[in-house]
Parts: sequence; C-alpha cells; structure tokens
Amino acid sequence: MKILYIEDDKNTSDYVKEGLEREGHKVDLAPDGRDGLWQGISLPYDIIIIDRRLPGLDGLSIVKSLRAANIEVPLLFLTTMDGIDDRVEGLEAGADDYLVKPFAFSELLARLNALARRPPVQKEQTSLKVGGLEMNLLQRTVYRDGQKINLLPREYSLLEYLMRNSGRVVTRNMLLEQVWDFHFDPKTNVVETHISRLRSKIDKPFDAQLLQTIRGAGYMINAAS
Amino acid sequence: MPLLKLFQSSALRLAIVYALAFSVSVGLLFSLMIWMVSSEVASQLKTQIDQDVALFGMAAKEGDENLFESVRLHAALAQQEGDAFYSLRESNGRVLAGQTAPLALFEGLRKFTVPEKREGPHKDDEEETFLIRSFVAGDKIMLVGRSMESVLETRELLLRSGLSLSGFGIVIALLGGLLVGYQSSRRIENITRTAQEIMAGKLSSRIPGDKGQNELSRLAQTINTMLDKIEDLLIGMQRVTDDIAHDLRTPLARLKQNLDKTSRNTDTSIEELHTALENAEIEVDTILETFSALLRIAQIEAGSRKKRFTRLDLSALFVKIADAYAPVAEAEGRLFTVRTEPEIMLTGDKNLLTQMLANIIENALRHTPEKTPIELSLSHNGDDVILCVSDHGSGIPQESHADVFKRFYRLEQSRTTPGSGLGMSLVYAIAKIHGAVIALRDNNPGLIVELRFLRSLH
Repeated sequence: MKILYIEDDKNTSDYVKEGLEREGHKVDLAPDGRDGLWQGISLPYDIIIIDRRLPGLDGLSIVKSLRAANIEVPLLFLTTMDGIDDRVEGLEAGADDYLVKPFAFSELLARLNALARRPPVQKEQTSLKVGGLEMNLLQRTVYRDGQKINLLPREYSLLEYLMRNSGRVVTRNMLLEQVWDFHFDPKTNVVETHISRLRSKIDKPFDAQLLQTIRGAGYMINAAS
Repeated sequence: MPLLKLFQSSALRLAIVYALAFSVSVGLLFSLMIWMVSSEVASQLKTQIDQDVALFGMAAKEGDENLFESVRLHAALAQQEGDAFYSLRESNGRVLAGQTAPLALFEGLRKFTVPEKREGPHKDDEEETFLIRSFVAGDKIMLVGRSMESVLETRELLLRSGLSLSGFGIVIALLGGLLVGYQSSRRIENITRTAQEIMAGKLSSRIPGDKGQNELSRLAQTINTMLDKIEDLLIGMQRVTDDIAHDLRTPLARLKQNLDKTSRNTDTSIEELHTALENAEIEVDTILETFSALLRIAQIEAGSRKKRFTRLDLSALFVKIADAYAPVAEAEGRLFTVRTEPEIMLTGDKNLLTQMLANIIENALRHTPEKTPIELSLSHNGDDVILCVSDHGSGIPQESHADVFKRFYRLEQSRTTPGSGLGMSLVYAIAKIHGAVIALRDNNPGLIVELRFLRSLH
C-alpha cells in the first residue's frame, strides 16, 4: 500500500514509517499540514494517516479540505487528543477511523488493513460467507454446513463484524468500538467471554476452527485451510 | 487611609468637578438676576427722573420765581436725603439754585459722580453717583438726577450673596464628594489590598465583611464568592497533584527496579528479556491509563461535554451494557439479574453514560467474590429515574462511603486488585454533569450503588 503520514513529530513518524515499511508498505512523510494537504490532493495514496496538531494547517482542516476536494481515500487520525468529543469531531470532519496515541503497532496495522481493503459499499450484499459459515443479512440468520445456529443479538453483531473483515486481524479495541460502542478499556474480559461464547456456537461442534485468536493482536475469522 | 492618597484619589477629582460645575451655574444664575434687577431699578429711576422733568416743566410755566422756589426746596431736601440731584442755571452756566455740577446741556441720560463730601445730617464719605437728565425750562437750563445708590447696592447685595452661595456650595460639594469618595476609596482600597495579599500567596484572604446591597458591596461579595470557588479548585488541584505524584511513583519505582534488575543481570536469556520488556510495557500502560482517566475526569468536570447532550433511551442503553457484561458474570458463576422499565428517556451523553454504567458494573464484578449474585435495575420512582447496581460482596464500611468518589481512593481490602482508584471518581463526575445524585447503601451484605436522575433536570 502507498501511505501518506502527515505528522510533525519525527520520532513518531520514523517509528510508524519503519514499522509499516517492514510490513511491505510504502510510506511518504509530511511534517507540515499545508504540505501534507498538497501531497494528499496531488498524489494517489491508498490511505492517509493524519495527526491533529500540526504546524501549517491542523489535521481537522486537512480532513475537511480533502473531503471537500472529493478525495475519497480512507483517512485515519492518529493523535494524542483522546476526549470523546475529539473523536466525534474527527469522525464528523470526514475521517474513517480515529486512533489515540500512544498505540500498539498491531492496533494501527489492523485498522489500516481494515480501512484499506474496505470493499466498495454494496447495497445489494445480502449475505456473508466464510468457509462453511453463512450469514443471511436480511433474515439475520446464521448457518454452518447447512445447520442453523442460534445467536443472541450481540453475538450476531460480533460475528457480522468479524465476517465483514474476514481474513483480516480485528483488534479487541476495534470490536469494543464497533460492536459495543465502548470507547474505553474495560477492566473485565468482555470481549474474551463473548468470543468464547461465539466460538462455542460456531466452531466447537464442527471440525474446522474458523475463528482464530491472533496472539498479541486480536481475532480473525478465516476459511479453514 | 492616608490624607495624601485621598488627594490623589479619583473621588477628590470628581468632587472638584462637581464643585466647579455648581459654582459656574450659580454664577450664571446670579449674573442673570443682577442684570434683570439692575435694569428694573434703572428703569424705575428713569421714570422718577421723567416725573421730575414734568414737574419742573410745569413749575417753569408758572414763572421763574416759582421754579426757583421749587428747585431750592427739592434741592434742600435732596441734599439731606442724598438721593436726588437738582441744579438750575443760566444758559451761561451760572448756578441759580440747587447743586453745582460742571455740566452743560446734553442729550439723554448721563451718569455723574459728585466727588466732594456733602454737608448735612446725611454724613457720608462716599462719593455719590447720579443718573442725570438735562432740559431747558424757559430760558434756564435744568439738571435733574436720581441717586444710583440703590442700583449699586442691589447689585452689590446680589453679587455678595451669589459669591457666598457659590463658596458655601463649593465647600459642601467638596466635603460631600470627599466623604462619599473616602468611603468608596476605602472599600476599593480593601479590594486592592485583598488582591495584593492573594498575589502574595495568601489565598485565604477575603474582602472585609460587607452586607450592603449597593454596587460596591455586591462587587465585594461576588469577588469573595469567586475567590472561594478558585480556592476550592486550587485545593482540589493541589490534592490531585499530590495524589498523582504519590500514585505514579509506585509503578514507576517498580518499573525502574525491574529494568535495573534485567539490565544488570548479564546472563539473561532472550525469553527472559522479552518477558521483562512485556512486563515493563504493562506497567507503562497502567501509568498511561491513569493519565488518560485523570484527563477524562478533568474534561468532564469542566462541563464542556454538555453541548453534546442528546435525548436518548436510557432503557435501551442499560440493556445493551447489561448484555455486554452478562456473559462475564455468568462465566464467573454469578446470578446476573437485569430488571428494567421500557423507554425511560433521558437527556445526556451516550458515551459517558455507557462508561459510567460499565464502571459501576465492573466494580461489582471485580470487588466481589465469584458466584455471588449481582442485580441491575432501572425504574421510575415518582418523577425520578433510579438506576441500581447491587452486589453481595463484603460491601464498603459506612464511614468510607464519601471517600469512594475521591481520586485514587482505594479500600484496604482492594489494594491488591489491579485498578487505578479513578473508576468511581469518573462515575461521580459523569453523574454530576447529568444532574444525577449518587448514593451508596448497605445491601447487608454487599453494596448498592444508587443513581437518582432528577426528573426536573431532564
């Protein structure tokens, strides 16, 4: 992927650039808001990462300008501004995701992957399929190998999010935000218990394990190989 | 207050301006009066002179002798009274009767001052000024005049009273101004002194008691209230700073020890190094988490979040959060009951309410033994909405109830459980901006956390 990172703190930008390049991505850095916006408008990127406090032009204005210029590239805020208002402001401005510093690198990677390969929105998409697991989005039913699986509403949402991101790592924080709307870190293992329940319904009675735990990163649902 | 300061004060300047304005207006008023009275008296004099002219004209028609006699009589009388002037003379200037004056025939009226002393009982050293008219009576020249003394006296009287009134007025205005000024200056001086004391670090200083209702008293009262509030905030901040320093020192010290131990140990294996690094990362995460919780509390207490308040379905939110925690509780072998009334609406911040409720539930989960039940309920009580989380753990001693909401407060029994001691402070801050009253009650055994959302505020 070709990534633009607009960030004035050299320490952070070098750390991110190095990490992403090790993952095989190409990263351009822009330490100034105005330059960053210009680069974002004039060059084709797969994703743009933006800090909020920047010299030249602040991150919020960059995002608004890019969206006003009809640039549809996925945008991710990477910032220390962690108030819930800050997050809401960032997303309202047109960003696709909001990650607060300090962050785990695996978290950033997972979010970038989820953003970059986000399929074009298909209104007609009525079902999701991973291996023998099938979800009917209209009837809100789940079958595995033709066998109906009864899920609680929250389990269904959890599985839906995992299936929409099949083949990609989804972090605990992504699940908390997307499935439960929790923008804080619970002290109890909310995610773990739900995953274990879900697993006991969709995986346990069957041979192949579809839902995997990726140690130190998160979870991934994948067609059994 | 020293006198010197008084003279530098704005009160004095104001008093002087008032006094000046007063004397200028008195001056104008009296000038007008003097002018009016003088011209009135002068016109009376003219009338009298004209009457005399007519009188002597008639006397002249009855013959010289008659005129002489009349002038002599009048002049003798006038000499005594000193209020009139009569003089009859030949056309060559020789005085036939009455007073002497170096005057010939002239047009209109003329002022004439008799310089010498006069004889007679009307002893008067002052010179006398007359208003004189001359006319021809037969073949003689006649001068008739009236003393202008009354005009001058009236003028002088008016001038004097005007001046003394001005003087009196100026004194009164100055004294009044100074008195009022002295009082306000003294009070403003009190405010200044208090401000200086506060700047010098004496935060408890207040403006001396003033129960009045005028603007200066109200200002003093308002400033005092403001100072109370600022002092409270500063004391709170001081305490938080102390707490932060104290609370973060422990994990930082632990981190340093571990890093120190690892770096000094030369034969550490790669695996051990990794474990040490992971542990260090966990410590750092804990510290960062404490910071972000503190920031969050500060943000909420600042109250700016209220602008994001929306009308929301508290029942739905309650059920959603309860659903998130039900599997956790059941995995611990607990009975987890949720009772709610549908569609309880509330004005608030969805994200904050979520975090508040999650914190209360997590507290119950983390501080009570496994397999003990937890009950959640949301219901109406009269007009208010009551949200309860009840557990069956060991509870919290009554005397510690108030301390639970303080930052970094941790009960002795939960010192060993991980946690920052900020969870309930956050709950308290969120409840407060939602106008909810939070109370802890004994569940015999266990704890009931009760949130009462006052209907009047929603």
